[in-house]
Amino acid sequence: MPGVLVIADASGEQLAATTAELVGEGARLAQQLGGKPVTVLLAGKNVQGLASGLGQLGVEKVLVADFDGSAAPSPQWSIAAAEQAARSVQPEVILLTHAGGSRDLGATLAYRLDTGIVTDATALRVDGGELIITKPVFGGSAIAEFAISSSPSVVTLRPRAFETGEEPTPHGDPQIESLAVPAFDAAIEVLEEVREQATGGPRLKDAKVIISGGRGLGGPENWHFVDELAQILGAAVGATRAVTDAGWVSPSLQVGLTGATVAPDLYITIGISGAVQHIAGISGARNVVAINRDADANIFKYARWGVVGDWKLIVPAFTQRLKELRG
Amino acid sequence: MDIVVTVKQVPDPDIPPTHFRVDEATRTVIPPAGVSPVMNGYDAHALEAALRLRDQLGGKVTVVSLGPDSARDALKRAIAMGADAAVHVNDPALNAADSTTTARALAAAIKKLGHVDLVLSGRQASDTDGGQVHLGIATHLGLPAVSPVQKIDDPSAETVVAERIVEDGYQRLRVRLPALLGVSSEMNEPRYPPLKGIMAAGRAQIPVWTAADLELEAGQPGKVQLRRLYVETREASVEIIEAESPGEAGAKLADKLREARLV
Amino acid sequence: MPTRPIGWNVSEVAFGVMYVLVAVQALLLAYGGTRRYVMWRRGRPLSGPLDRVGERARHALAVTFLHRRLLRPGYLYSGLMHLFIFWGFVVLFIGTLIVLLEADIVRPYFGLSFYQGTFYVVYKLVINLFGLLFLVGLLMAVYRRYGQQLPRFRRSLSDDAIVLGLLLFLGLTGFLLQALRLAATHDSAAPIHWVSYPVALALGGVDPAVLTGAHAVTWWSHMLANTALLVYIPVSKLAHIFTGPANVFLRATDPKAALNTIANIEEQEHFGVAKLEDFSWKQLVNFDACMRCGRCLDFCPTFNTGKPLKPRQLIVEIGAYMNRQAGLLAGPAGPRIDEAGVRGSELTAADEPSLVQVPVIANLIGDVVSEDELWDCTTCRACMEQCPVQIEHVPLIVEMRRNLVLEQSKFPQELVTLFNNLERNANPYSFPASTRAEWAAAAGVQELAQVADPSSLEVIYWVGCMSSFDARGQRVATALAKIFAAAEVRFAILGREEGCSGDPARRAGNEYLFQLLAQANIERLNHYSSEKRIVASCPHCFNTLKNEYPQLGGNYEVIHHSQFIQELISSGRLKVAPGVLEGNGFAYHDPCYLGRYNEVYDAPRDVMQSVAGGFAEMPRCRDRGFCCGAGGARAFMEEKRGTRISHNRLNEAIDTRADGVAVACPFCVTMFEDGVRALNVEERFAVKDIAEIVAAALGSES
Repeated sequence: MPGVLVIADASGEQLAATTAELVGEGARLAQQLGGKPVTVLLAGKNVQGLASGLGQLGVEKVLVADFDGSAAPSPQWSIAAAEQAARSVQPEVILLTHAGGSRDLGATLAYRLDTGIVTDATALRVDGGELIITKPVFGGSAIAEFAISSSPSVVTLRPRAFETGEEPTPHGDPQIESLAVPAFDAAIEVLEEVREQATGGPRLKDAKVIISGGRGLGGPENWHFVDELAQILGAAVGATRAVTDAGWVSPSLQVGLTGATVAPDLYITIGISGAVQHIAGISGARNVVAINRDADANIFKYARWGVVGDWKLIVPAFTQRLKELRG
Repeated sequence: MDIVVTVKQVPDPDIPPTHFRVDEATRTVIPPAGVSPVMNGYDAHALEAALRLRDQLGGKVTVVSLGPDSARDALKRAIAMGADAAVHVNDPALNAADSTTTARALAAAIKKLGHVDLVLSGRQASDTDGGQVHLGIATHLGLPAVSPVQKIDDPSAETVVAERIVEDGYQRLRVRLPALLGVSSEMNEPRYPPLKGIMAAGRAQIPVWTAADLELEAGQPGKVQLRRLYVETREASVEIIEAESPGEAGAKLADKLREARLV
Repeated sequence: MPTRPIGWNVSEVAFGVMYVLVAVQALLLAYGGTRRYVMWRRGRPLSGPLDRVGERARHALAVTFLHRRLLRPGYLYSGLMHLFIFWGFVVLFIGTLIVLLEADIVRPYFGLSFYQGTFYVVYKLVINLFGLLFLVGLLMAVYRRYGQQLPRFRRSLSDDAIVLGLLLFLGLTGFLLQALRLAATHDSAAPIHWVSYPVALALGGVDPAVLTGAHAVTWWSHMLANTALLVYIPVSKLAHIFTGPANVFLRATDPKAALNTIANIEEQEHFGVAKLEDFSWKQLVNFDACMRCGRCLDFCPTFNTGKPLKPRQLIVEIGAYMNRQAGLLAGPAGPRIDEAGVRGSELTAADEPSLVQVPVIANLIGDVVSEDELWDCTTCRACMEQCPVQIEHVPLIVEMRRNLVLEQSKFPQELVTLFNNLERNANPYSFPASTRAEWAAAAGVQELAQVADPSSLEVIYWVGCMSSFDARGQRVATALAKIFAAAEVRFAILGREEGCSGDPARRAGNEYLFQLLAQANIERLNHYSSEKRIVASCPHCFNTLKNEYPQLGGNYEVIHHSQFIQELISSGRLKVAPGVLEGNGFAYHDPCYLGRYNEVYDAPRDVMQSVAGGFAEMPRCRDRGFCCGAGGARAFMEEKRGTRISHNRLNEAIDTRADGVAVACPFCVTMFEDGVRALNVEERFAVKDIAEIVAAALGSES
């Protein structure tokens, strides 16, 4: 049956938080396409138990492909499951989250189905019967709108860019169907999975969001404000040379001309004045936020938003509100 | 080990957002004066990985790029860094094509090169931020693909071990060759080309292939169309968030960021 | 008739032995010298015959005999010390030749004699004087090395002791010989031998037979010691007697501030120096000329902040390596060569030196010299400024950097960012070149391209990257623009047509990138007119444009903004009220590329005097100025080892009790601004460029 197929990110034996966004957006689209059904694929290890959780989100039908191997499922298994689900459901739209393994899963799936895909979408709309997909390009410096002429349209959604939708009508027991994953020529063997991170947070150079602290923080005893904020946003932590020289944090966190050059979507600075050696490291940052008590600080020339004042009074409230927003 | 690396030439990603301009009519980027396009960052990491494997095991590194005349510079840079050979796929019908056509064309080019043990690509290009073309190439060539990869270990004639980045962690996968890997920047630091390399690149003859050379069916339309490209108008100067108290300003800041879909 | 019996108490046999030994020594010396010469010639040939031979000879003679490079400010004691030793020895040597002339040539072949009468009296008076000076100098040297506890003499070798000991022994036995003869023969002319005379009197009562016996013993020991000395010269620091003046003769005569160019760089197969033979043969002489005085260390920023690079050690290690490669003895008492790698620790007295075979396959870079040492250098030239034999440390280091960068592609990761930025944006940061003149629009400054009538302009203001892109640097540019306006100087900037001068690329060893950047600038400058004066507010730009662009066809009249401001003030075009020293005033810091490189010491000082009523002079000033740490592309690299160079200098400035430091270089401004923040003194210690000080003194709104 056609409609929308949502491929949930079910690695690590739990439903990712992005599932709610996918389902919400999927339901909205299904509605716009004429009241079509939404099917969710759960493929992974020990995913049986997650099906009822999907019911809470208002999902009517769930396809379950349970991986029974000892290690984690290989990318080949995941694509085989996804392809099988797509061929059986024959949806008009396939949605995945643009995170983790789903990124490459979505792309490979599209090519297997000989159709087009747009990744990292921030908005979807149906316009004159066509699905128009909006996404940031050039690292966020510009916005593009795409249309896919083949069927199905495959889209990966940027996490947290979509509302989860109005209160879904929970379905007590979604219809669960087992999906048999066809055999394939196994060329990839999973040797091991290492889940713990050596250092918290993503790598500085590739991070989409970075929280950066400067001398204005006063001392290493205040650095935990930076760490907390980073944890809530899933951000990397950066520092100015003044701070790393003073020994507050490891030199590997240094952002600047002689440290790391970064180009995040969002660069939040606390207590950083914005000397050229630091600015030179963030010239690719799309959106800079400056929190500094000096209204004349150079950083404000490069920032999109700024708050002038004592960071000690600003940051806790900022952090708190973010916690609320992210749930 | 015979390795093919795909590289793409992109507008300089260091162009500050405030200087970024597009032509909405043609849906193209207008770079600031004097700013030349560069080799895609992740592709440079892929090339570096290829060069290191070749230096370790012997073999050949060939670089392929699809793009207009200017893409030649990216290929020259690759040769300067140490690539053994380069191929330039240059055809007006292909240069502005969508990702699905690009994937088809590059797959055809790689097939035409003959025997290959490993294809390395950057995990995504910094203009489209798509991250899909290399997987399309793998699908067309029937190669197992792993992406994004932060480390390549234990290379042999039959397999390599790739560390694939996943949410909070990584997987170690043994992959049978030939295969395709999408390389991430964690893997290495691309080398700076030695002067002799730059001179050699200047003298290099790079063959150019067209769609006809690749025996691609003409007239196959792309599946993804770019309908609109624009820059969000932004204030040139900073928006200072005012509020009754610093705490309130902090909360307001969070709301602004959420509104902009940044958090 | 005063004279003395030449060869009194010395038998024919003894003389025979002496002459034989002299002949042997001369042969050994000649042999050693020739082997050394052959070793030097293993270096690259020069691009042409040696130029300006006359000038070189004059300079070498002046340096050697007038001790121009030893008697420098701050080195009076050691300058005089060496002067005494040198002239003492020279005169004593000439004295010996005179006696030889009399005894072996004039008397036997001409039957004449001049060594008597007035001549003899004058001779003896003079020789006693210089003999005494010789001894005084040596004692001064002993105190200098072992008593004064100078940092650069922390570790002395046996070689140093042997040399001093031998010379002292010779000097003392010389006088003793004289005294013993006077006492034994009751010479009536004794008083004219005025240094030995008191000793002779004291020995008056001793049995003449004993005196004669003692004289014989003293004669033999003096003669043997002399032999030992001459044989020791080629394998000890004393080799500098020959290699020093040779090196001075061979030194580069190009502007001292310029590094050499690589011609036809695109056709070269090999770049820089990777092995000894890559140095030019002139450069190889450098390594032999060093006698380990250590003056290069006194004002060296890396030595004084505990970093691996110590200029003396670099030269000595390469020298020892060179000698090993050539199969020459580096000296049993000289620097020790490790077995494992040629690089040892610092020269340590604790280790007994031994003749150890160095693995011949040792690499120059890596085994002998570490990469860390090469990258540490700020190219400040404090070492070259002080070196008495004009060793050229900085060009040697840059040559090795060139190999690392252009051939091996092996260099600190931070430089990749620098090179990429320079290549793409013609500035060391990642700002697009198109934004270079944005500061000018706000300050009402025009770009040359916009000026309708360029011939009406008086000067071109070369802004430089730091003042174009850095907010702090832009304040200096704006201040200078204000000064130009006040003095009614019509000027314009190249603006978007200006690119990085290329200085950081060249100092970092990337000669190719330097040439690309320089050629682009030269093309633009020549387009506008090469006749206009160029005023640069950055000493690095100033130095590169003035002294190095001619290598690539760019010949311009370039002056630094401190010189231009001084001109404006003294000609009355810029009216400033005579400065009154406010508070404790500023300490003036000499930028290396303005001071040592181009000898511009006075212009900025005059300016400070005019507008601020004075300034504080730091102990390490002028040719002894201490680097801020940014040169040699170090501003773009991390400083990971030792203590901070900029803090060292800043503390010196703070110690003068001034309220701030006045500088004339944007790199120094940046280093010191970072420094005052790191040292937590930003509230009470200001950092200002002299342009800012002058602009403030003009009184208008800022």
